[in-house]
Amino acid sequence: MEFDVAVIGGGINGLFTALDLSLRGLKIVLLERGSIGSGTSGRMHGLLHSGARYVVTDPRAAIECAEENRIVARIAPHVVDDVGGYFVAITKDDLDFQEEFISGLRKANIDYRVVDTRDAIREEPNLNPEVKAVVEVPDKVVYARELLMSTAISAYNEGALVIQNAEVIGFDVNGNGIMNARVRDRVTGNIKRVGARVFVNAAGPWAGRIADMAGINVNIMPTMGVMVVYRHRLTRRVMNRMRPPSDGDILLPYGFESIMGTTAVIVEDPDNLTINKDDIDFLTSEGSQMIPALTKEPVIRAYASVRPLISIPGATGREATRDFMVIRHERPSNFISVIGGKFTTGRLVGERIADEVSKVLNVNKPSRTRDYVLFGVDLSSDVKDLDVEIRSITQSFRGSIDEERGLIASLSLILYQISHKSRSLLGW
Amino acid sequence: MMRELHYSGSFTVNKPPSEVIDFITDLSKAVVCIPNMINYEVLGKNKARVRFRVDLGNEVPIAELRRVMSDALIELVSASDGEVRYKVDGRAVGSAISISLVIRVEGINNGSRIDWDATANLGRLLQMIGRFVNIDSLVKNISEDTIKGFIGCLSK
Ligand SMILES: Cc1cc2nc3c(=O)[nH]c(=O)nc-3n(C[C@H](O)[C@H](O)[C@H](O)COP(=O)(O)OP(=O)(O)OC[C@H]3O[C@@H](n4cnc5c(N)ncnc54)[C@H](O)[C@@H]3O)c2cc1C
Repeated sequence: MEFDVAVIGGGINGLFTALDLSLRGLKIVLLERGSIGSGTSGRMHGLLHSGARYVVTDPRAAIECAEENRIVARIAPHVVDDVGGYFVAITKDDLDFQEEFISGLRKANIDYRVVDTRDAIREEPNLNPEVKAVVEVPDKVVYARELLMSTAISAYNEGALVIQNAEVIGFDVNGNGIMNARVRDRVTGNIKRVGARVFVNAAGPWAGRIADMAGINVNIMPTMGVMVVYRHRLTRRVMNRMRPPSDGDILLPYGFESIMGTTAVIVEDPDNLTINKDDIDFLTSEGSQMIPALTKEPVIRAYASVRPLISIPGATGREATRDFMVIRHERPSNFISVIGGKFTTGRLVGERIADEVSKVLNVNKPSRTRDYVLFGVDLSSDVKDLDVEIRSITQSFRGSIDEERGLIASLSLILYQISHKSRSLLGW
Repeated sequence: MMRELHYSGSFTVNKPPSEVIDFITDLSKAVVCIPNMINYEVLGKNKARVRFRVDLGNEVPIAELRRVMSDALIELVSASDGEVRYKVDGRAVGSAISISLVIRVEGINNGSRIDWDATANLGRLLQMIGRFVNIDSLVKNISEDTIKGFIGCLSK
């Protein structure tokens, strides 16, 4: 079976690329070596950025985040919690940053409100009573796996095949182009070939390895970020330290828990991450400056994921590496890589990649993802060929005590089935 | 494998050499002048442990990697005849860094001239940053910030 496009990587960028291209009428296969979201996207911090964090250092990224924050909340309301966020000044240095911060918010056109510190403490009783200034911004919480699975199911509904446990291990190159991806089926151990007219490298921190397989020389430096999960939800809103982006800046309420992050540690191998007690202590200590009660909270666990710093031919200078970059390689000419981005901007990345693919394939259809409501908003809406039994389980959550918690279970079940169906449609 | 880097510079302050030497050999006074200090602990007369944020600069393409927490153990190795030697062993972004710092203080008209000479050894992981940013200008910026901090304290 020959596809128009093979997308490598089932993280936020690959999934929105697959959805966007399917909505433009192209025949898509998405290959993911593990499960959907098993890379960075399923291990992020959970913040749907308002953009505020980047207004001073990366104003362009801030504007993109601000817009995507609104779009994602509109197309996936079932996975977004509109909790709002506070930027809090704890030290004099933080306070000195406030003027520049507010001027950045104005320039980026991000809604904000300076909150009286007494009102802020009334709203957030766990906030440090010594807090010197508070600014409210439209930060939101995004439930990562649920968004990823909703996007995967939507892409399948629009015709894409979503293959999990499919690891790309090489390419067959003929002249100037890639003919096939060589793929290890991790279920059977067999090596298969998947042919396509264009190949998209959306493998996140592993993108360097994929590019290497296509004969492109890359420099990669993976940087690990650790997050610590505490037993209770200590705030209603996201708490951000009012200072230029650094480590240990954000405490986020995720469901009933709180998550503090992150750190920045250079590692050799994105598949081999070790979390030290020091990282946990550091994050607790930094977080407790905003929310002192954090020191008394039981730590449930810590997890980590990787940001890639990659330098790659076609990407020159500091400007090009800012936030995200879509590269159409000269050789192989039907190979496109994406580097960087944020979970918040995954839809936009997908749109930009799909624009680039459309140029290669001479397709003249615009992106539709900014107005496309994702599967999962209404679980009773149809999934192509869904088993009766799965449909009955997912629908039984409706009106039950576990309706909210049933969402992730239902999406997992449906994902299992679409992955299964995709495999059989591919002849695997 | 460590990579060795050398840096040197000089600056002047309006304090006599004896005061400068007293100040830089008293770790409890000197460490608080390190910019972006998070916390510190003086571990006796000649040793201190400090935790501070290092500004790696806007050249670093990942926002979270631009200002990072570092830990260092600072040891006063010797002080005699206007020359003070420090040894700094630290960690930043998960990688080792060790610095030998020699400071010479000399009297001039109405103050002191301070010459410094540093040899830094970067761990392998930290060297990797060199593929993305210019390490020389990065270390230069960090040194300048630190010296500004010291001048600020000495001028009080
Ligand atoms: C610690 C940390 C916290 C973060 N927090 C936030 C946040 O709160 N908000 C926000 O907006 N952003 C956040 N980000 C950024 C965001 O998580 C990433 O930018 C985003 O998830 C990257 O998505 P991706 O699709 O590029 O990569 P990934 O999600 O890593 O997807 C790549 C996929 O490719 C697959 N793959 C790899 N090799 C192969 C192969 N050979 N064959 C097939 N598949 C392969 C992997 O299994 C993986 O699933 C955070 C990042 C980090 C590191």
